[in-house]
Amino acid sequence: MGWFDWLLPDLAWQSLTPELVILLFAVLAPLVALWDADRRGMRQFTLIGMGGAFLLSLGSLLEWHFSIPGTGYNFTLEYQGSSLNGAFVVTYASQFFKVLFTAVGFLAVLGVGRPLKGRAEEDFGEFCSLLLFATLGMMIVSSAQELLTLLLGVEMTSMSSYLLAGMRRDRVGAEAGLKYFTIGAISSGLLVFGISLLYGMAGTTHIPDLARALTAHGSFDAISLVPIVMILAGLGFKISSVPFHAWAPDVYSGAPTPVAGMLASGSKAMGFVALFNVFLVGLPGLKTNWQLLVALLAAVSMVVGNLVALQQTNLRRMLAFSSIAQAGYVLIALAVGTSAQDGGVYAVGGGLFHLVVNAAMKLGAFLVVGAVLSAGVGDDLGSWKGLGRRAPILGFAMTLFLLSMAGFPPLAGFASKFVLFSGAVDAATTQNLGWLLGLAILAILNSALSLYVYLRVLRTMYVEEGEEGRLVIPPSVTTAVIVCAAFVLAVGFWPQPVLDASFRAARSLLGL
Amino acid sequence: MIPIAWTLTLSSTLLAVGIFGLLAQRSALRILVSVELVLNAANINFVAFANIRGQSQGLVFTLFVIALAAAEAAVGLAILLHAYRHVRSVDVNKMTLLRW
Repeated sequence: MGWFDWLLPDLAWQSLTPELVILLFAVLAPLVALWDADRRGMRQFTLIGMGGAFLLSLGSLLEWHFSIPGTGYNFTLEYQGSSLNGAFVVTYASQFFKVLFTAVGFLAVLGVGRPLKGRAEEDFGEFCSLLLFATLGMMIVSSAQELLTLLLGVEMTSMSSYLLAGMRRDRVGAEAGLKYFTIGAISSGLLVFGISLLYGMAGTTHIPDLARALTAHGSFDAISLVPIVMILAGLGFKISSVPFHAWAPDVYSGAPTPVAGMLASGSKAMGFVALFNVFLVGLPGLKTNWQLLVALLAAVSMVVGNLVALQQTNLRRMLAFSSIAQAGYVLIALAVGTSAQDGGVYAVGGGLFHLVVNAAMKLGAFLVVGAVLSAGVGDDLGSWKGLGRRAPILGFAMTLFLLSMAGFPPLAGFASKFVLFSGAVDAATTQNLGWLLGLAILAILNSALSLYVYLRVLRTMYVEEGEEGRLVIPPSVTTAVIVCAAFVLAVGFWPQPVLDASFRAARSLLGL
Repeated sequence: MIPIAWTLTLSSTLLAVGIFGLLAQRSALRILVSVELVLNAANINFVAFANIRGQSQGLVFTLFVIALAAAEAAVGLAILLHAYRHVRSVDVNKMTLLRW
């Protein structure tokens, strides 16, 4: 190991390689942009960074084995390692999420349609660098076993995304950035204050130690409710659950579409990882205090998200509200997580599965909207008339994404919703918790309601007559959309590998 | 030694002032200042709790939160300037292009 052992003695370097690759590329990106005149190399540079980190995370998840013949040199990528006194821990769960985050980052960069227009061209180096930093923050959160690491990861992603959301050099971009920043700053303030109170109660900020310090006392107590509400508010902003969702429609429609897609998939998944970590690993002893609260948030998010999505005529706003509803579905897993018989593995596994599927379909849908926008068509429902004929591939992919969001049978969204909701029903029947059953029924009713939201778009795209003429779509965007659509189809027909990985990740997340 | 209740009263008051500022102010600049108040209220908590427990964890947390506040101010001012350039105001009520 050599001299850096002395510098940073407690660092498992080998398990940190995906993060180090992303960090290196993020730091170098603005420099590379100085040399790269037409910005084409910039995209390739970022794709190499994201792709490299993706392969390293995937390799460690699947434990790829390398050996160079003749030299006897053997090498296995693995997912073990604990750094910085257990503040940064590499587990199966953390690598599972890193695969998701780097994949989202890769596809988001690939899906940048026309960054090369107007003055935004000058910013593409910074854009790529910030996207890499946002991904790095998410990866740190997925490995965080300490509230400090978790906070720093969340803030790293947040601050990069404030700037990414305000990247457009016009009034809309400025407003989106400012709105995201103000609401984000408020919620991070609450998050820090909540953590400070939790530290005062437990005397530690190490998440597994929190669970030991705050053991069950069974009864409801008002004091611990204060930090719980504050932390829920701080992280509820990242997942855009209902009382903290006001920024989502504005930011999603003002930000560049790949960024909006990243916020609705990767950044949202990061919020859930943080929530699962804090509440299921750190605070299971206080579950009488937070369980009903989380269930309430889940119910309100589903209902408000879907009902408001019904009234939207702007596609990006509709996707934003549908993304709020999806946050409600996954929150069910958090509410169920501690009350199921097998320690919540089934429910949490379902939640993680839905996060992965949701990432593919939300990112895909936003990239389709972005591609259509860059081809000169608006993002209000009226201008999408007959779009299915004007852009057949994108139209078909959008159909898959929308039907999958509604939970239509042969697609991925059906499989993930099925596992997620049946986890709640399972917990309700085995633990005799009637309100969980109510939550599951509400979720199923909401899925039915949401079908109307999405079918309305499909009707506009295929049945109604509009302008004619094929749209010109950049090939890189089409590639990214096809990857997302293929994932949605493949997982729909053959969910087993992803499902197994999700359950294994849930088990590793819960420390079972 | 100052009793913990006193420091907690101070930090809660600071939090209340900060949250009032967040809700009542229209200028984004004042909102930024209010956020600093909330973060510093948390810092007081960390230091006070670390002090009564004789630990250093809380102090380290405070150092990181101070750095975080500085980074947040930098990012916030950049976004604020960007907004001012296009809207000619930092009044959040004038941000009316994106509305639902």
